[in-house]
Amino acid sequence: MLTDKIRYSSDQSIIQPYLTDESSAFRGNADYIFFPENESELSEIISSASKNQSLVTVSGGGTGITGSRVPVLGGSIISTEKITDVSKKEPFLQQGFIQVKDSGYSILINKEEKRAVVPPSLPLSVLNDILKNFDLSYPPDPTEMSATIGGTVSTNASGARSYYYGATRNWIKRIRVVLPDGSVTEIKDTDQTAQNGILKIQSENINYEIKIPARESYPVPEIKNAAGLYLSQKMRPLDLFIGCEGILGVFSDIEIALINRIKNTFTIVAFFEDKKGAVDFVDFTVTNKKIMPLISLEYFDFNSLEFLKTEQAGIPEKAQAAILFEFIEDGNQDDLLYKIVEKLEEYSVITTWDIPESKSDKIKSFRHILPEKINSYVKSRCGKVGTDIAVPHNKFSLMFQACETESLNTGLKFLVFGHIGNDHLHINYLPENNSEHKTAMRTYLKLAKLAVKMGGTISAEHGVGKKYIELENGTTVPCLEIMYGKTGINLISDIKKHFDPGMILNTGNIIPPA
Amino acid sequence: MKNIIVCIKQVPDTDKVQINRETNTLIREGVPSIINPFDENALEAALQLKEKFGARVIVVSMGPPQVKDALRQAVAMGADEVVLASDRSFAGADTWATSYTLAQAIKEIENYDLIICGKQAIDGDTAQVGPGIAEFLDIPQITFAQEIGYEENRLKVKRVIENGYEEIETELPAVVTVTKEINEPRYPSLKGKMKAKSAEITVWDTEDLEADENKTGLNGSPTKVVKIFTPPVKASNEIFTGDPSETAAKLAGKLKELKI
Ligand SMILES: Cc1cc2nc3c(=O)[nH]c(=O)nc-3n(C[C@H](O)[C@H](O)[C@H](O)COP(=O)(O)OP(=O)(O)OC[C@H]3O[C@@H](n4cnc5c(N)ncnc54)[C@H](O)[C@@H]3O)c2cc1C
Ligand SMILES: Cc1cc2nc3c(=O)[nH]c(=O)nc-3n(C[C@H](O)[C@H](O)[C@H](O)COP(=O)(O)OP(=O)(O)OC[C@H]3O[C@@H](n4cnc5c(N)ncnc54)[C@H](O)[C@@H]3O)c2cc1C
Repeated sequence: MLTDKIRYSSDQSIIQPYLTDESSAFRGNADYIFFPENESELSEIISSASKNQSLVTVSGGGTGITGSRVPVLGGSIISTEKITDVSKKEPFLQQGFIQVKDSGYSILINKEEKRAVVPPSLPLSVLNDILKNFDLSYPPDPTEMSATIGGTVSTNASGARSYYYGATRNWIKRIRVVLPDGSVTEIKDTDQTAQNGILKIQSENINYEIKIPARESYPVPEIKNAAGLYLSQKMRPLDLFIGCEGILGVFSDIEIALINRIKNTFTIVAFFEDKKGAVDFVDFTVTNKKIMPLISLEYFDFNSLEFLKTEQAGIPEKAQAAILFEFIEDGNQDDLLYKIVEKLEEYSVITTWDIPESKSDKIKSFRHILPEKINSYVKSRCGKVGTDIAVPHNKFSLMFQACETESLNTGLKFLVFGHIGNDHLHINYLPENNSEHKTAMRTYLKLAKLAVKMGGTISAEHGVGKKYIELENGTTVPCLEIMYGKTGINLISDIKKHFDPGMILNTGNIIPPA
Repeated sequence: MKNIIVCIKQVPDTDKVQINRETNTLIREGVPSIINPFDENALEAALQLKEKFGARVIVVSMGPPQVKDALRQAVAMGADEVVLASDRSFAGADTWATSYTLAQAIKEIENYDLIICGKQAIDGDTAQVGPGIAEFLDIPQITFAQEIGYEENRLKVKRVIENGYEEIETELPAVVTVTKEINEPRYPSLKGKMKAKSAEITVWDTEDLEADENKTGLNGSPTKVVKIFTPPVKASNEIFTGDPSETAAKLAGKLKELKI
């Protein structure tokens, strides 16, 4: 029995909005939704679910696009939205942290040490607003700013500036986690890393020893990656939880590392006569970071630009591709500007836009507007099939070519945009009917396999969630199997069962339920 | 066309401006300066005419030395030449003195065909300077343009009015002020930015303009700001209650009575 105080509901009109996510491609069902207000209520709910062997699925901001928060197997939902305060404040207040309240959330900040402790439900947009007043920034910048910190840690989210600052994984200092048995543990970035293939996760009540598989049986790509658990010989306990898509525990407190506010950025859009010019320009920048210290590099193909022409006049008709990039002004940029102009000329640039700071938000919002426009375009059609693949840089140009050829072969309408600086592009197919949808899925499979072969990932930022794919032989398998095979899926299942023998928490994410 | 002159004013980015609640004045410190948004439309209109018919685009501004930043941005957008009218004695100008000073600067530029201004400045907001310039130069003016056409040495302008637009033709030279609807201003190009860094900015003072000191700056301003305040909101309202059809009738009656 749960404490009376805990808020929950079985009213389907309240539950309904939680039964899908931004993909609209998954539908779930649930008997109850719980709204814990703090860590101890969260722990109580999970402990009770564990005793009763009932399924629970955790919901953050619901902006995921892999169905990871969708309770497709039924059971209950736990929404983190009412956990708006940090659970254990005292020690931090004594260490010079101050408490800041904004929009109903409460967070702790230490400006000198550039650290903050935040509740899991905090949306990135609110975090950014708060940090502005302290002249600080949290570098991970996924496009969808209504995502919660808990969700972004759970998916190891990344954004445009991850080109320079890396993904969420780099910026987490400490988490408090409610494990699938309801016990709570605290994990710091300084905890002992894996030794001799064993990762120890210890706290008052637990003492887990996780065997880390050899690299051959679970080859984690050494690039931006959000697919499956992170397992490597030198990993920190923290790494196991970041990007675990909620299958190993629920974050109740998160401590993040901050930097001085990113300001005085130059934002440039370069339009190219041919795609190759754009790709070659990026290749030059990525391989010459010392000469070209950019902090983000984003790609838009012709069809993406077509979608944006209603938002922005003056996009050159001939432009086959555009690169949006940023760098930080440090008072002595003339040399850099000169070099950029010179390089762009070499790579068949048509024109460039130097976006004044007062207008850079508008231009950067195109990255957000574009997926939204695509979603509304496909709503009345047959859904979209989108890739999230990334490859090592030395394979990018090959991959780009392959994507182009394969995609043109489908005869489908498609568009390409994304984080080209991280060798990570989203190819979005817009099928008009079921048979086109099948074609798109087949191409997706082909490209995903190719990416894996090249040492890349099938998901660089969204995670795999509940995505399944039909193989050539007609069997349906979890998407991750393309990358790690059955062996990999079994390895993850073993770890999952270590934490969650009854398979009650976020079941269906990454690995199959049984 | 030979020369098109565009008048631009540097203004605080009002999106980022805060008001000092005690004095009711703008807190200007730390607020970034931008080109008055309507003046970007004016410059874009000039650049489009230049692209179609060929012309030199000359940008003129009156203000303190920091206005050079705005002028460099104008060069980066494509202006051929920029001029800054700047002199300590220009400070404190009202719209009359501003118009006079700008008109003097324009007289120094020979062979101008067209002068384009923004509809209004987002800080001063009077919309008087464009018409003021036309008066001082004694040439025709067309305000609130949403489209500018040019044929056989005549300008054809669509001018926004309350329920539509008027079409007005004039010979040149003339002053036109433009609305937001006329176009979407281009972004400066990187190459333009490089060019702008080393662009020469002509600065003219009272002497260069052959201006009468009694007509510029605070000296030359007939309007004096006595006090700046936010008018108190006079809240008086009447609430009608009861049966919906009756209250609707009462409300309609009241609106008629008030001639709204
Ligand atoms: C327009 C658009 C653009 C996007 N752009 C990007 C992008 O640039 N980069 C990127 O990485 N992603 C992007 N995404 C995907 C999405 O925003 C991210 O995956 C985000 O991290 C999800 O956060 P959320 O709070 O909405 O989580 P939800 O969707 O609610 O949940 C995602 C997963 O996190 C789990 N979870 C949530 N809270 C917790 C918690 N406290 N503890 C443990 N597990 C938890 C859920 O169970 C689920 O498995 C985009 C999505 C959209 C719609
Ligand atoms: C009663 C009164 C008293 C004032 N007293 C002072 C004062 O004491 N000190 C002070 O600093 N200011 C003062 N001002 C503000 C100053 O007069 C105006 O900012 C200036 O005259 C321009 O008028 P405006 O901003 O309304 O421009 P508008 O008439 O709204 O501008 C229309 C167009 O004219 C052009 N234009 C306007 N100003 C310039 C410029 N400087 N250079 C180039 N082009 C331009 C632009 O194309 C602009 O789009 C006063 C204003 C008023 C109404």
